[in-house]
Amino acid sequence: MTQLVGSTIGELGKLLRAREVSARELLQAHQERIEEVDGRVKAFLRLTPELAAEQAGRADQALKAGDAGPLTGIPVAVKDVLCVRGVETTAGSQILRGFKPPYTGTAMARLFDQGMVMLGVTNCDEFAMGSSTENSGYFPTHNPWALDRVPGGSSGGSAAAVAAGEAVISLGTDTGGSIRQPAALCGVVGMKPTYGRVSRYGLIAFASSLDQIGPFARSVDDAALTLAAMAGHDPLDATSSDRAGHDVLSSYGGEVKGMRLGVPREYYEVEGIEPGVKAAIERALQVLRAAGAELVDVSLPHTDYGLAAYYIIAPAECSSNLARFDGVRYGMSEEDSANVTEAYSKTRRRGFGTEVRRRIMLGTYALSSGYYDAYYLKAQKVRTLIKGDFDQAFKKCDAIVSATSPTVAFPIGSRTQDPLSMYLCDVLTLGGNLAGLPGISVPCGTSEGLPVGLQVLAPQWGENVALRVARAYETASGLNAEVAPVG
Amino acid sequence: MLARIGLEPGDEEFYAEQLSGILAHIDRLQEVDTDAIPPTAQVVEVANRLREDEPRPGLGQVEALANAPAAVDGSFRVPSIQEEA
Amino acid sequence: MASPAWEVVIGMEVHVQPTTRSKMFCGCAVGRLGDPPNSNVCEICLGMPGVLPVINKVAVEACLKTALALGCEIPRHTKFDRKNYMYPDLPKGYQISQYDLPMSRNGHLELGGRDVRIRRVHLEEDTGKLIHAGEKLHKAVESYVDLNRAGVALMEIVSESDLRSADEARDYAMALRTLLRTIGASEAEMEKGQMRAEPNISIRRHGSAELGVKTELKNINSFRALHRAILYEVQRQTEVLESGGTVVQETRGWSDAEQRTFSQRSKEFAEDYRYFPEPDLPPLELDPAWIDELRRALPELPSVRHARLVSKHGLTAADAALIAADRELADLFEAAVTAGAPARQTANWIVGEVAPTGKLPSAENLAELVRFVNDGAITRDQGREVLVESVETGRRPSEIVTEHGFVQLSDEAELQAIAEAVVAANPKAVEDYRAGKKQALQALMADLRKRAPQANPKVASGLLLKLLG
Repeated sequence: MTQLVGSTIGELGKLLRAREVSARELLQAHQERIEEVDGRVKAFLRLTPELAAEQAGRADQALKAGDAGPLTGIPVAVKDVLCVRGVETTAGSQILRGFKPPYTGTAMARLFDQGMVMLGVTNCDEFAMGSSTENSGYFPTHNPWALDRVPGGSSGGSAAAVAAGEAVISLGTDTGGSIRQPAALCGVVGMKPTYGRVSRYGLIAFASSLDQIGPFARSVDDAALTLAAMAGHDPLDATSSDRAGHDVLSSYGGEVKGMRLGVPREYYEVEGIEPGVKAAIERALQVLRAAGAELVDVSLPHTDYGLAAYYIIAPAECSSNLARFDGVRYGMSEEDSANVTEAYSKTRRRGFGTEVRRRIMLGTYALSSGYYDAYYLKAQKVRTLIKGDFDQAFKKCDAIVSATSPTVAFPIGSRTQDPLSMYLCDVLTLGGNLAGLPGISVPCGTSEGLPVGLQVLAPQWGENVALRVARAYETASGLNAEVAPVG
Repeated sequence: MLARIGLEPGDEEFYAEQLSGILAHIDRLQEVDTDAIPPTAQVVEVANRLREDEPRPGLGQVEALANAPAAVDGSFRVPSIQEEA
Repeated sequence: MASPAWEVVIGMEVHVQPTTRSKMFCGCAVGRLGDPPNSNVCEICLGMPGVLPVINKVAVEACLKTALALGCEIPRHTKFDRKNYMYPDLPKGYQISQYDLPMSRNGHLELGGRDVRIRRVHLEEDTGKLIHAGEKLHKAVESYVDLNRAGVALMEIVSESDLRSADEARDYAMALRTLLRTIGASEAEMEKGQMRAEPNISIRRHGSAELGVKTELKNINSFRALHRAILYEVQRQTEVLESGGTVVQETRGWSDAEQRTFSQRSKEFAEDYRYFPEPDLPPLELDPAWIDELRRALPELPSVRHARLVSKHGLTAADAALIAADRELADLFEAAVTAGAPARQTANWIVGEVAPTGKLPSAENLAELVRFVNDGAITRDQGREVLVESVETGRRPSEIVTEHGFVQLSDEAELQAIAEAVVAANPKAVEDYRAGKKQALQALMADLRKRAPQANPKVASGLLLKLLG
C-alpha cells in the first residue's frame, strides 16, 4: 500500500483517481505529519487549513466527476514571498506582518486551477536574502536530516517541508541559488527554470532580473510536472516568454546515452568546496558515464567574478524593489512619528532585519551618482561575459554538471557573523541566475551523513535537457529522495 | 539620506566594517577588461511587450484600503510632510 | 516687466496626459477628477508587493504621434528607467520614467514665425495626489494620499530655453495644446489637470552668453496663471539681482490665492535619483515601418494649416489663427469652400456666427447659406436666423428660406417708396445728415429695416443717400 506521506505525484494520483483515497484524506495525512514534526523542523510560518479544506473539497468533486488532472488533490506548500489572495504573506519579514494580498500570483493560480491544495506558507530568509533561512524575521528552520543544521536558503522552509514529508510539492524562488542550494542541503529535488519561463507576477521581488519561481519535489518527474503546469506566457509579466509551458517536458524521458556533459574545472576548485562533496559528485559523474554519457572538460573562466557581479546587481535591484515598504499602504507602520521622514526611517529600521538593510545600503551605493559606472554598469558588463562563458561551453556540451553547493548543511549560527562566508554558499548556483539558465539539483548521496546535491545546468529554454539528465541520473543511481525521519 | 533605512549613530561602524569586506571583494571586478563589452540589458531575448488599452476592474476603495495602517475617509493617512530644514 | 537691462530666458517642461482609457502600466480606468479617493486603483498602481508593470500601447502611440508632430527624431531603441525616491504619493518608491534613451529627441514647435527647439518628448507615469490637513503644506499636521492618479500615463515635453517672455511662454503652451488636440494625442485641458506647465526662468544681462541661475515654477493651472507667474518671478529675480543678491536655484510654487511664488523648501537639496534601466520592462524596438505609418496618419498640423489658409484662401491672420486652432472648424471651412462658398465670407461666418455657439452646420448647408447672403438673396440678419434653424434641424437653407418667405427685397420701385417714407418720418435725422453728421444715416437705415426687414441694405441705402442729396 502506498504511503500517503512520502509518495510521488504519480503514485498518489493513481490512488486518488481510483478513489482509494480522497483529497481530504490526503490533506489530513499531511496535516498530521506537520503536527508530528514541524515543532522541530519549523518549516512552516503559518498554515492555511480553511483554504486547504475548500480546495480539497473541490478536488474531490473533480475526482468524482472524472474531471481530474495529474495535480488534482496534491498538497503543496508555498514560500512566504508568493502572494495568495487572503493569505498572510510576509516575505519572511516583520515589515509585512499582517499583510494579506488582494490577489493571487499567476503561477500559484495556475496550480490551484489544476486542483492543488495549499497546506500553508513556508519560512524563508527575509525577502529571499540569504542561504540558510537564518535571516527569517521570525525563526530559523531546521534541516530535517540534522536538526542542529541549516536547511539552506533562502527557500529553506519549502525544501525542509518536502524533505520531512510534510508536503508533496513546495514552491520556492531562486535568485542566486535559493531553490537549488536548499534542495541539495535537504536531499530533495529543486528546480529553477529559465528566466522568463514562469511568470513573476505575485512574486515579492528581490532582484527583478534574476528571480524565478520553481518547485521542490521528491522526484524529477514531480518537479517537471509541476514546472510545466506553472510555466507559460503571462500578459501580466512583460518579461515572461511566449514559449508554452509543456515544452519543458518534450522528449524528457529519453536516455543520457550519447549526451555530452560539461564538467567546468572552475566549479570544482571554488573556495571552500568540501572534499566529501567533491567525492560525492565524482561518484555521480561515474554513474552518468556508466549510463552512456560522455564527460567533457569545459571552462567558465569568469567564475571568480560571479559573486562580485551578483552582489552588486541583486542588492541594487532590491534597494529599489524594497523602497515601497514605507508603512503607508500596507505592512508595519511606526505610530507616533513627527513627520513622514521619521516614520519611514523608524518603520524600516524596526521592520527590516540586518541582512536586508545591509543589502539595501550596498545597492543604494552601487547605483548612486558617481559610482553607477564603476559598480552597477560594470557588474552588468561582467554579467555579459559570464553569460558568454556559458554560451561557449554549451558549444561543447549539452548540459553542465557540478556540485550544487560547495558544502553540506552547516550548523545553525556558524556563518551568521561573516556575511561573505554566507555569500560563498551560492558560488556554484548564481552563475545560472546571471545567465538566465535553467538548473536542477538532484540528491546524489551523502557526505558525513548529510545530503549532497548534483546540479545540472542547461542552455536557456533547455529545461527538458536538464530534466533528462537529472532523471537519467535518478534512475541509474537508484537514489530516491527519502523522507527524513526527523528523529 | 541613505535609503531611509534608519541608520542610528552606532550602526554606521557596524555596517561600515561589514560592508567594507564585501566591497573589497566586489572591487575585484575592476580587474576585468570590459571596455568593449555591452551591459546585459535583458538576460533573455524579449522585446516589445505592449498591452492593449483596455480597462479592467480594479480593487475598489474598500479592498484597496484593507491593508492600510491608517486610513481617513478613503485616503491613506501619513504624518506631516516636513523636510528637515 | 523686466527692465530693459535684463533678458528673460525661459524653458518649458510640460506634462500632458495622453488620451488613454487605462493607466500607463496597469488596466485601471483613468477616471475623472472628483472620483472618490482610491476608487480607480489595483494592486499594481498601489505598488503592492509582487506586482509588475506592462506598457500601454496607446500611450506609446500618442507619445510617438506627438513626437512626430513636433518633428522629433525617433530612435530605433527606447527603454524605461527607474527614478528612485521615496515620497507618499509615489507608491513604489520609484517612478517608471525614461532617462537616457527617451522615445524622441530634437524637435521644434513653430511659434510666430520662429522655431522653439524641443529637447525631448518621453513617457512616464504620474504620481498620486496629496491633500494636506490645514492650509499650507509646511504647517500640515497630517496628509492624505489618493492614488487614483498614480500610474496614469504622462508625456513630458521639454523645450530648450528659447523663450524670451511671459507672452511667448504662454503662446508656446497654447500652441502646444492646439497641436495635441489636433493630432488627437490629448485633450490637454489645464483646468482638468490634463496639461501641466512648469516654466524654468532665469534672467541675465543683455548680450551675456552665460545663463543666470534658474528657478522652476510649479502648481500653475491655467494659461493666465502661467503668464502671471512668470511676470511675478521675473520681477522677483530682477529685484534680487538689482539689490546685489543672488537667485537661489530652487523649485517655487505659484499661489493663485496670493498671486506670488514661494519657495518649496522640500526640493532644496539635490536628490540623487539613482536611475537604472527598468528590469521589469524589456526595451522597445521601434519598427521604422510603424513610425512611418504613424507619420503618414497625422492630420495637417495647425501651423501648416494656418499658413495655407492665409496664402491659398486669403484669410486674415486673425481669422486663420482662430480657424486653424480648431480642427472641426478648419475641416468645416475647407469643406464649405470646396462646396462652392467664397472663402473670406465663409471664414467671416465661421468666426462671427458658428464658433461662438460651438454648434456646427453641415458644410453644404453653410456653403449654401453663405452664397445666399453673398449673392444678396437674403439679408445677413435673415441669414443668422436660417443658420440657427439649419444647425438645429439639419435642414437645407433653401428650404428654410422658402418656408419663412425670406426673400430679400431688392426691387427698386418698392424700396424707393419705403425710403421716401423713412425720410418723411425722420426729419431730425435728415437734417443732421445734411448738416454733415454722416452717422445719422444709421438711424434712418434702422427705421427702414423696421419697416421692411427684407430690404436689401445695399440697394436701400443707395436710394436713401440719393434722396438725402
